[in-house]
Amino acid sequence: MAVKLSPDRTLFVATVCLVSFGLVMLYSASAVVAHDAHRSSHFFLVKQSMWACVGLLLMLALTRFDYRTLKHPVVIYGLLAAVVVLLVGVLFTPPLKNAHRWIRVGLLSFQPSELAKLTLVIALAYELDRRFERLNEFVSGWLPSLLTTGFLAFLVLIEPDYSTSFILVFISACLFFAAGVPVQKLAWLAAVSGPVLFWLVLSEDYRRERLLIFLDPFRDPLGKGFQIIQSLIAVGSGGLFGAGYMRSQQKLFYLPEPHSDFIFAVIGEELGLIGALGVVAAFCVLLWRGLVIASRATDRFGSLVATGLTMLLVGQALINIGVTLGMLPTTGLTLPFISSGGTSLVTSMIAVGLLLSVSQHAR
Amino acid sequence: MNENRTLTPFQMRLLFLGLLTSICVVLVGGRLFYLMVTMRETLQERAVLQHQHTLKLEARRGTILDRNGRQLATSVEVESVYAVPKAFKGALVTDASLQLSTCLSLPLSRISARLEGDRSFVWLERKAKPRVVRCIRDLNLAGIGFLNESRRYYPKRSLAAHILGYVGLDNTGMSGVEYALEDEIRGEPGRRIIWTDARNRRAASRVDAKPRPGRAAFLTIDENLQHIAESELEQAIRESHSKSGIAIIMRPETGELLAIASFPSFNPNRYGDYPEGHWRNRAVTDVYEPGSTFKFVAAAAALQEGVTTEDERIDCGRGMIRVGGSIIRDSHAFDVLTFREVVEQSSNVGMIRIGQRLGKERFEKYIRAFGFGETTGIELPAESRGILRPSKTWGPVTLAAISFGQEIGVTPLQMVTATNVIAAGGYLMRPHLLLGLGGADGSLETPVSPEPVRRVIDTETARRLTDLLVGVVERGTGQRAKLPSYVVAGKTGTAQKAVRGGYSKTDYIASFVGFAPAGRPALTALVILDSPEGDHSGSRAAGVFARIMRRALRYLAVPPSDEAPIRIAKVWPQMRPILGGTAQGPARNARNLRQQTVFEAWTPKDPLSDAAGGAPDVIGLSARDGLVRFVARGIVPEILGQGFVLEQVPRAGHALEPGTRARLVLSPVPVGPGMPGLQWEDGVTVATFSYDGDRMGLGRAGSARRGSPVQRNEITD
Repeated sequence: MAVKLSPDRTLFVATVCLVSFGLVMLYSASAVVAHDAHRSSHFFLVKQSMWACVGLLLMLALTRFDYRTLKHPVVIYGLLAAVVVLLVGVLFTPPLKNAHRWIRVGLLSFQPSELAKLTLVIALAYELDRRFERLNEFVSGWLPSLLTTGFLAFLVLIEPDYSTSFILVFISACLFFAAGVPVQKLAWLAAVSGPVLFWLVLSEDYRRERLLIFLDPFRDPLGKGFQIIQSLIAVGSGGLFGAGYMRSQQKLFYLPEPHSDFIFAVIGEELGLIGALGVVAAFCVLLWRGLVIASRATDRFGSLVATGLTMLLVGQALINIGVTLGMLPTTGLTLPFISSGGTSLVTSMIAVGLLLSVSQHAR
Repeated sequence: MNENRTLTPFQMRLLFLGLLTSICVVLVGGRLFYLMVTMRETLQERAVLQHQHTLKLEARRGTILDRNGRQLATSVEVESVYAVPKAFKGALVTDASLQLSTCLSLPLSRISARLEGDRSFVWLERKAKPRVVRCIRDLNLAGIGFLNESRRYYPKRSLAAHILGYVGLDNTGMSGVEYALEDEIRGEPGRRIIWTDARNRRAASRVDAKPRPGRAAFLTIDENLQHIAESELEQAIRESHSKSGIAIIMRPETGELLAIASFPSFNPNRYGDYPEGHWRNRAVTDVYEPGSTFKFVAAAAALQEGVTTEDERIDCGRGMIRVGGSIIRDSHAFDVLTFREVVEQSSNVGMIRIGQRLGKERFEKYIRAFGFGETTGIELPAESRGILRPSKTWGPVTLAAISFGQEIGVTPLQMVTATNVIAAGGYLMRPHLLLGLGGADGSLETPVSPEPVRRVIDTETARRLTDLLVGVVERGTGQRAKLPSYVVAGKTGTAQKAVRGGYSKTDYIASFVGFAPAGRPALTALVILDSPEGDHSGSRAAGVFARIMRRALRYLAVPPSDEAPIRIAKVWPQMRPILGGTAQGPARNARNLRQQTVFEAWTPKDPLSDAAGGAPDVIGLSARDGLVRFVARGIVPEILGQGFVLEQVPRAGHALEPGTRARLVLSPVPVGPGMPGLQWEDGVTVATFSYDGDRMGLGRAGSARRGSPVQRNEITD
C-alpha cells in the first residue's frame, strides 16, 4: 500500500502561475474585443476569473481525492456513457458559428468535447491497464480501446470539430505507445489509416486550402492567409522584449480571436521573445513533472492517466503555439490555462488536479 | 526513478515520449527566434504599414496685404461636412436626406444617393457656409461629421483680382501672386499620425509635425489707388463700350506698382463663375502694338545719340513718305515740323525720318535697353516678353513701322516700365509687386529693395524728353490729359488693331502713357482702351489718365506743380532709404521722398483682432475702415463729414456695449497721430514720419523746428 505523500509542488505552482498569467494576458487581449461586443472591457476577464476559481477549487479537491476510485467499471462506463450522451445531445443544439459544440444551460455554456478528452484518457488508461497482458494481440488486446477512441473522435468530428478529434486520436496514440502496444503494430495501423484520413481531409477543396495555406500564407494575404499573416506580424513585431503590456496593436481586430485561439500572438507582441519563451518553459515544466509523476505512480492505471493528461495538456499547447507561429495549419485549439473559455480552463485544471492526485499516491 | 538506476520498459517509453515532445519544443523555440529576431524588421514594417496612417495637416496660407497692411486675401477656417453612409439604414436615409436637403438647398435625390451604400466616407459639402454648418449641426444626426478646412477669402472681392489670382480647392495658387508667391505663402503642411484598428477606426493619433504657416505677402499695391484705377477704368470702358482695358500706376523712383487694373475682371472668391478670359492679367500676358506711344523710344534714342535736337526742322513730306516701295501716310498732312512738333503732333513721317537716321542696330539697342523684348521679371506668372525681332531681319519698312510703334508687340507692363525710365531720370527700374514678406508677428520683415536694371539715357536726356512729353499734353495730341494744378507729361497712341493680313479699319487701341507732376514725378501711369466706340483716339485714353491721376495725386497729397519746394509728402511704408543712394538720377527725382528714418516694426491691424471689448482705435483710418471696426463689435457709429477719421466717440479702449452711441468725425485730409518729429536736412525740406498701423503720417514741412515734437492733429506750417 502506497503511502500518502505531499502533492507535486512544482506542478501546482507552475499551474497557478500559468492560470494567473493567463488572466492578466486575457484582460489585455480581450479588453477591446469585449468592449466592442459586450460594452464592457472586463467581460471576458470576469467570466474567466470565475471559472478559474471553480477550477482551482476542483483542482484542490481532486488533490485530496484518490484517483484509484476511478478504476471501477461503473465509474468508467458511466463517464463514457455520459460523454456519449452529451456528444450526441450537442448535435441537436442550435449551431454557433456553423458548429454544434456548445450546450447552453442558462447563462453558462459548456463544451462536451472538452470532457471527452478527459474521459478518453481515463477510459483508455483503464482499458489498457486491464488488458495489459494481451496488448500484443490486436482483437482481444487494444482493439476495444481503438474503437472507443474512434467512436468518440467520430462524434466530435461530426460537430464538426476536427482539431479536437485529432487531439483525441493523438492522446490515444500516446497512450497506446506508453502502455506497450508494439510499435510495429502502431506503425502498421498508421500506414493503413493515414492515407485514408489524408484523403478525407484533402477531398474537400476548402479544407485542403486551409490545410495548405500555412505553407505559404502570402499567397492570399487578404483572404485565407490573413489570419496567419496577422499572427506572424503580431509575434514578429514583438521583438526581444515586446511592445509592453496592453500595447498590442494587432489585438485591435487584426488578429482573429485575440483572446482565445491567438492569445499567444498577443503575448508575443506585448512581452516579446522573453515572454513567449516563458510560456513555453512553463509548459516544459508541466511536461517534466507530468512524466515524472507518471513514472513514479504506484500502479499502471495511475501511470497511464498521468501520461495521457500530460500529453493532452502539453500537446494541445504545442499545437496551439505551432498554429500561432505558422508551423501548423489553422485549427481551433485553445492554449490551455490561458485562452478564454471556461470549459477549457476548468478541464485543464481538473487534469492537473488528477495529476496531483496521482503524485500524492506515488511511491 | 528506479533505485537500481535501470529504467523499466514503461519508463523508457515515457522518456521517448518526453524526448519527442522536447524536439517539438525546440522547434517552437527556433521558430520564435526566427520570427522575433531574424524576421523582426520585416514584420514590424508590415505592422506599421497597416496600423499607421498619415494625415496631412494643412498649413495656414499667408495673408496677402496691400502696402498699408490692408488685407487683400486671407485664409479663413471653414468646415466641410461629410457623412458616413454606413450609419444610415433604410428609412433613416429618407429621413436624414429630407432634413439635409433643406439645410444644403440641394435636391433630395442627390443627397439620398450619397447616403445610400456601404461606404464609410462621402463629402456632403466642402467648405460649407457657416449657416449651412449650423443648420446641419442642429439636426444632430449620427453619421454626419465636420472637418476643418481652410478657405481662401478675398474680402475686397474683385479688387485687384488679376494681381491676386485665385486658389484652387486644394488651396494652391492658380494664378496671380497666389501662384507666383506660392512657395512663400503656402507654408509647410504638418503631419498627424493616426493609429487605426483593423476596422479602420481611429484608435489614437499624434501630431508628428506641426504645420508651419505661410508668410504674409505685402504687395506694393495701394488699395485706394487700385480702387481709383479700377473704378475709373471701368467707367471709361462702359462709356466707350470698349472690349477691354488696362490701367497701371507705377511709382517712378522704385518701380513699385501701385495699381494694375484690368477689365474684364472677376471675383476670385467665385472665379469659377467667370469665363476663363476674365482671369487673365492682360497687363502682363497680352501683347499689343503700342502705336504712337512708342514714339518716345525713338525720340529718346535720337536725343541721346544727338541725331536731332528739339528745334531741328524736319520735312514731313506733306504727310506721306515712300519707304521701300510702300507709302506711309500721316493722319494729318504736315509740311515741315520741328522735332518738338513731330512729337507733339505725333507725326509718323517725322518719326520715320528720325528712325532712319538712327539706323536699325542703334534703334534696336535702345528698344532693348528700354526693356522691350524681355520679360520684366515681375512677380506674376505667365508674363509675355512681347514680340521684337532682331534688327538683322528688319527691312526698311519694319524700321519705319517700329519708329511709330507698329510691327512690335509689347505688354502694357513693358510700356509703363519703359515710360518710367523718363520719370526716373534715365534708369530702368524693375517693376515690383512685392513690397516684402511678413514675419511671424505679421510685420514686414523681408523688404524687397528697388532694383535699377540699367541706366538707359542720361538724366539730361530724360529731362529734355520730359519737356517734349509735357508739350504733347500742353499743345499736342494729349491735351485731354491736362490737370488743373499739375504739369503732366505723356504720349498718346492710336493704334489700328492688327488683324489677319493687315490692320483693322474699325478697331483701334487707344492708349495714353505718362507721368505727373512733370518736374518731380510722383506717379507713372498707362491707360489702354481696347476698341472703344466713337472717339477711338489716344486722346480718349488721355481723358481717363487725367481722371485717374487727379484722384491719385490728391489721395497722395502730392503738392501742386506751382508750389515749390515740396510742402506735403506722403510717407510710404518703406523699410530702407529709397535706392540707398546707389543711383544719382532717380535719387534726385526722389528727393521729395528721401527718407532716413527706418520705420518701426509695423503690425497691420486685423479689424477683428483688436483688443476685445473696448472701442477700436480708428483715428486716421478711412471712414470705411473705421466703420468696419465698429460694426465688427456690433455698433453702427454715426458718421459726420467725409474722408478720414479725425475724432471718435467713445475713445479707443473705452467701453463699448450694445446700445452705445458711437460717432466718427471725419476730415477730408488724413491726419495721423504721433508724428515723432520733422527734421531739416541740408536745406532740403525732408519730412520723416513714423508709420503706425495703416494710418498715414502727414505733415507740412517748413515751420517745425528741427527735432521739435509735433502734436497730434497739429498742422505745422
